Amino acid sequence: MSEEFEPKIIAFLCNWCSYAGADLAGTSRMQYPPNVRIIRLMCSGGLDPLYVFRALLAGCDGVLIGGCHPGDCHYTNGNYKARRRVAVLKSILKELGMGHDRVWLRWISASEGSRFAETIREIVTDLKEKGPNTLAQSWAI
Amino acid sequence: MAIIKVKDNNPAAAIRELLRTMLEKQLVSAILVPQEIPSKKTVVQTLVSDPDKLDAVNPLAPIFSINSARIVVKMCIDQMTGPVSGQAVSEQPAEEKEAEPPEAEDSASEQKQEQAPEQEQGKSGEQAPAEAQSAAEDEPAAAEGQSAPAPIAVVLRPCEIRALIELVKLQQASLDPFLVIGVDCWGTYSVQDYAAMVTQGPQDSSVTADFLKQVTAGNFPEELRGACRACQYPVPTYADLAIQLIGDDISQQIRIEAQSEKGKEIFNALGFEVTAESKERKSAVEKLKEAKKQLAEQDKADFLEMISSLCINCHNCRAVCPICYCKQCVFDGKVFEYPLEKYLNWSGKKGVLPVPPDKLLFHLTRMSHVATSCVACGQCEAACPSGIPLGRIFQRISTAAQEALGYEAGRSLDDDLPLTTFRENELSAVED
Ligand code: SF4
Ligand code: SF4
Ligand code: FES
Repeated sequence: MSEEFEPKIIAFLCNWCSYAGADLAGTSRMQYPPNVRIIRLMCSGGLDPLYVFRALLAGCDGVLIGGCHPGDCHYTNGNYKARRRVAVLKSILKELGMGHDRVWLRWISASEGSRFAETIREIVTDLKEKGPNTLAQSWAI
Repeated sequence: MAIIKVKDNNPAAAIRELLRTMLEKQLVSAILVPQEIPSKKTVVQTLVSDPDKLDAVNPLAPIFSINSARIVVKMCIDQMTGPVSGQAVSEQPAEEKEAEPPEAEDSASEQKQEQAPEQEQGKSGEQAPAEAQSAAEDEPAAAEGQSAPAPIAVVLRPCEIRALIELVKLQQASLDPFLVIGVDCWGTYSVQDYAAMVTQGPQDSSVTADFLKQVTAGNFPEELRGACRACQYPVPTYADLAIQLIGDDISQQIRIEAQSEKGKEIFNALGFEVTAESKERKSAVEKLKEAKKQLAEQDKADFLEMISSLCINCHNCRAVCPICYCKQCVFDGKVFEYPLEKYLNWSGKKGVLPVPPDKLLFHLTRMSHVATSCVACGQCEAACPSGIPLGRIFQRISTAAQEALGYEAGRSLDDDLPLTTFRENELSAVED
């Protein structure tokens, strides 16, 4: 490959914290790689694992799930439940060898614009090392 | 615990007689139990209410055509119309009041009156939580005094009971009308293998007797279903009554144990002489589990490729799964109907698109829905026309998922469903 691989990342961010954190990163003009597409959810607890599977099967290289810090979820405990769902999701991906290490769960608050930017930088670096998500490249899968 | 004598080296007959006594004494109003069809090629689940119609009953036949938890769910659909848990009872009237403030109170109290006769059966939907509680407390007394309807006995294998427990927690079934009779299980054959053995075996031989002879000697037939080869739950632990075979010489005797209050009542009414547990049982059960661990298929086939290439999207696996609980599956809805343009778009992106699309997505989604409650009964595998080893796949995945959340499907009604609860400090490895 002559061109450098640019990973595609889908980020599911909760409306009240992580999305606001991403917004803050933008309005404060922090620099972070442009590899991420954000989908806003009301709460990380509203994430159906189906979306994550769909993203990975459609060829996205990494998925970030962002929610409020523990104790801060605006629906009391959606983030704790999301964590359990992500645990199930990851065990499925792991058992099937589908890249459980391409899924990140991070707590990012509305004031943590820099944490959001840092997270994206980290993920991009990591995915560049891992290379593209080959799953979607095989036509048979 | 009591001993039941076995005559003519036929433990199935001893169980049949036990069931007959229960019906004759009207301790149960009917019994859900498998019977051999006249040609003996298979068994069907039947609901028997006439004690003279039990002759072909054989709960020990090593064949597993349906996870009967599904049948129990169907049988109690009308019992599930009202709210079932205490929480739901207190929620519903509140919702009604919100929607129509002036009329709600009237209609609620009207409903209360209409439902009053049913309250005696402990099935009332709309009563206030406090009343519900006192009604529940009254229940045992009422059962002794006036004649509450006798329960329907359901004779189930361990994996069927475990599925049923999950379904109760998922609010798909109620145990109230039933008396769960669990039976020890060494394993089963597929419907096809069983029928072939009956047809090919010598006349007068019994597949059940042959099977019992082999497994009690520690030999496991080649044809045992994949799920049964790996099964770690050979004995019922959460039934009302448990029929125990493992650890006894079943040509001579079997045992029966009451595992709940409901079971104790029936047990007492049957007038058994109380004995202790078989001394050999514990070690025999452990030995069986150990043997099954060795039998379990270990190969790590390329499941991903198998699913995506072999699956024909018939959704049979979903239809027979006892756990799959949605009334309407998302994969049957509009979400997965695409305009032609979209097909072309996808095909254009990759140059080649396997169709129908979403086969793998269907399985991944199903896994994420059922993994925490899967009891690894293997019915999905039996139903698959393409021979995909789904039982093995689901067993691996559900074990991993349940271990991650510290949950064991079907163990007890008391542990919360793992996706409805959480602990503040857990799963730190998932966040990264
Ligand atoms: S999975 Fe276990 S309990 Fe179910 S039929 Fe097989 S051996 Fe029996
Ligand atoms: S039963 Fe088999 S072919 Fe049918 S949907 Fe399930 S895995 Fe696919
Ligand atoms: S609102 Fe942010 S995680 Fe629930």
